[in-house]
Amino acid sequence: MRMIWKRPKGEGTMYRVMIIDDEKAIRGLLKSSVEWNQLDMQVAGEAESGIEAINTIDEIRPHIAFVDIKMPFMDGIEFSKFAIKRYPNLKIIVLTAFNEFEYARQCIGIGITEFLVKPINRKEIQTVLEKIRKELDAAIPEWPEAELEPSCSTTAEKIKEYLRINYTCPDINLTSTAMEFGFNANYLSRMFKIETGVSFCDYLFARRMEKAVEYAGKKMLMYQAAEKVGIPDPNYFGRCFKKYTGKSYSEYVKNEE
Amino acid sequence: MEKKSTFTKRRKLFARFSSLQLGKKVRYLFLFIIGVYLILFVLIYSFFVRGNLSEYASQKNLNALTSISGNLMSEMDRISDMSILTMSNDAVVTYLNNESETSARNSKDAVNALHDMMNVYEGISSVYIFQIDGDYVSAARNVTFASPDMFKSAAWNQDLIKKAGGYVLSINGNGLFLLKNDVDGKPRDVITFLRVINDLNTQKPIGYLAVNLPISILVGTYYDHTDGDSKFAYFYKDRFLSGDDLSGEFAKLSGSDEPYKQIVVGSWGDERILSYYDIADTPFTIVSSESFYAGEMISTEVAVLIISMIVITLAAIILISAFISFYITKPIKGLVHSMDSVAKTGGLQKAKLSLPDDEIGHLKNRYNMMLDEIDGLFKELITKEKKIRNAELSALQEQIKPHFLYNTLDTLAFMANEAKAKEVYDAIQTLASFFTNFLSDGSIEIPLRTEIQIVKDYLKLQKYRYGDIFDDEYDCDEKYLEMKVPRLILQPIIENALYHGVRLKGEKCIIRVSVFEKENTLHIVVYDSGIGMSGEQIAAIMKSNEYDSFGFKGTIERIRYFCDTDDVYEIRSQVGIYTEVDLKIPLTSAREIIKWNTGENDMEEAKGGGNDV
Repeated sequence: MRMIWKRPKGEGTMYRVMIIDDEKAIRGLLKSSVEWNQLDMQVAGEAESGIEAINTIDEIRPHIAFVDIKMPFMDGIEFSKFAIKRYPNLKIIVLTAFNEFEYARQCIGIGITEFLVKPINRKEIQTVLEKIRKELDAAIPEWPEAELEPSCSTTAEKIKEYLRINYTCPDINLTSTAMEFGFNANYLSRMFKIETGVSFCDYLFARRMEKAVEYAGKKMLMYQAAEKVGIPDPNYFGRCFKKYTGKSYSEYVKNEE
Repeated sequence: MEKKSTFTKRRKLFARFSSLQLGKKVRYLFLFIIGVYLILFVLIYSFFVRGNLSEYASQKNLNALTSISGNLMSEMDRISDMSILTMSNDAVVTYLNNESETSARNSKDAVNALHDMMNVYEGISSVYIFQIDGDYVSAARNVTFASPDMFKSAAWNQDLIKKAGGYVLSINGNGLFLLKNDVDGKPRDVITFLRVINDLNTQKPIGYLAVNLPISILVGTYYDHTDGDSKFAYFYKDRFLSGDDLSGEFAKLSGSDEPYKQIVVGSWGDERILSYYDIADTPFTIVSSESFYAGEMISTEVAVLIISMIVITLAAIILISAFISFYITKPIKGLVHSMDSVAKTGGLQKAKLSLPDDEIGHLKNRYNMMLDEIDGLFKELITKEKKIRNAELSALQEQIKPHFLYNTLDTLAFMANEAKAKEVYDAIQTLASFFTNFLSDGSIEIPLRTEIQIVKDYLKLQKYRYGDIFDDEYDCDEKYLEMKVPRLILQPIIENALYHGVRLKGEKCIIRVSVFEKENTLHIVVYDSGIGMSGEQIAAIMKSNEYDSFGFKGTIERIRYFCDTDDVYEIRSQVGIYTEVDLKIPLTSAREIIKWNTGENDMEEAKGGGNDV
């Protein structure tokens, strides 16, 4: 269920920005070279890859996303296609190197808001962001807050079942699941939490990590385990694994011996 | 509409003929000529030879018929002479004059006279002397009965009277005689020769003489003419008398008033002349059927001439065909084959046929000259292209103006140093070094040492970008580091290792560059412990259509061009564990040794770049 909620801009509203780029330096440069506060914006989150972004976007809930076009595992165009389908109000700014520009141009028409050519020019970013802010000010698409309807635990069970089967899909996340079941994402998130006591994201994360631990026990190579559990970006997977087990994947495999 | 379709048909036929092979065309042409020959032969025969032939045969046939009728007439004349002798016989005259009181003696004498006649002329069946009133005497060989009752009819002897002393021929005396059965029990017709006997004094008829002759006497008249295919038959009015069975032919011919008629019937090769001939003063008709054929007309000499002409023509056609095949078709085929192989292989092999010094030979020579010329043009083109490339390259270097870049980088380095930003200073220094070596003043070949320095700088810069995701190691044999290699053969492979191996693994990897010599081949090995490659991926890497001279495929091509051999690399890998790209540069060739030496000489210059290895 995709809805557009619009409401006039109120006092203190900050637009949320997400930066998706595989280079830490570029992310840092973006963060430091823009006066976000003056634009009523804040960098709400970053992702090192499209895969990571899919998994975190529902929590970050951005209005604007910077997406690097050239990333391993899932390139910026591919990610944008997903994102536009799931978050129709999201403003996407694609970052592209000069020699990739032709490639990027092929994607005009899929709904990408702006293109920016690297190396990043502070003035250009400023201009683009001001333009986008005006668009957002005119009608703020809001991440909807939904009233919790009386629901039954069977729905939550169904969703759990769905996740147990589909956790290997790298593009699955809260919004895609909500769309699948015909709910709005916010509602699903709250309902799931109430019914199961765990957040949707934690549940999916735990399912994947349980499986990852199992693979680590079998001494599977990390990038292969990453792919098998639906996080085909081994860097992000590695961080997830460490967060879950407290050890890096290779340490875990070593300790198993 | 129909016209149009025949037109297109004809055009199609012509097109089909045009697209036939030369040898086949010649064969069809000769077939056509032979066909025309045969048709011409048939036409000549039909319209000229045949006409003459039938005219000749008709004349011959007429002659035969005239001769046959002559034979018959002379036979009858003999009978006539005999009959006159008999008529003037005293005993016969006495018998006829004493008509009213015929004595036995008189009649006996007359019979004797008749017997005499029969004895002289053996062919006679019977002889009768009739008195005017019907009494008669006869001498017969047991063939006929006379039936003189018919004398009473007034008209019976009109023909006779008209003849005025001449004779009349008829079959069975038109009813005067009845036939007895012959030995075989069947009656046999006779030819009756009948004439009036006049009194010598009064010249008044006093009686009749009848001589019956067997039909078989007719056979004698045409017997001499029945050779081979000729057939003859006698008809009495409409009735078949004697000879071959030609009733059908008679039916075709009769019905006209003409006494003589000839027609030609039958188809080509089986033609016959049918003729119809009324014998004058007799009721008889001769019908003949005679075949005629070329052999009759054309003499042996002419036949030999015609046959030898045909044989000579055929021989000539075969000879010409062989000549065309040997001197034209075959050489052209050979030439075409040679040209085809050029078209197929793309190589400019000359036609190696030994051909006579005629037009086709010239064609071959011209063709070979053309190949030479094309070869020359190719070479010229390649040289030109190389020159243009070099010119473009130097133009490009002019544009880059790296000094501005280097100076700016130096300034930035200084600023970083002033700001005590050690790391930034290092990074800028590395970038400056990288660019200096990367561009190498546009040299196409650079020392291996410089090549490795490029890799070191590149990896250091990449670590700034992507963090500490790999360690780089170098294991190089000093001896070979001054050797010149094509510029930028290592960096693209390292880039591949980083982006397609190391970064995808998510764990810290090793990138190792080794240089060593083994069996006269210099090995430059790039090892990475990234995710590795499957056999299909390795196979696909060189099949990609994308051409980029600094991509993997382009790099390999440049090394191949440099080493003048195809076997310049090997990829070893284990999925998930490692990839190893082994560049192999042979050291044996004279060219390499020269390079090696020049490499030594250029050492100073290479060091002038200020790079530590």
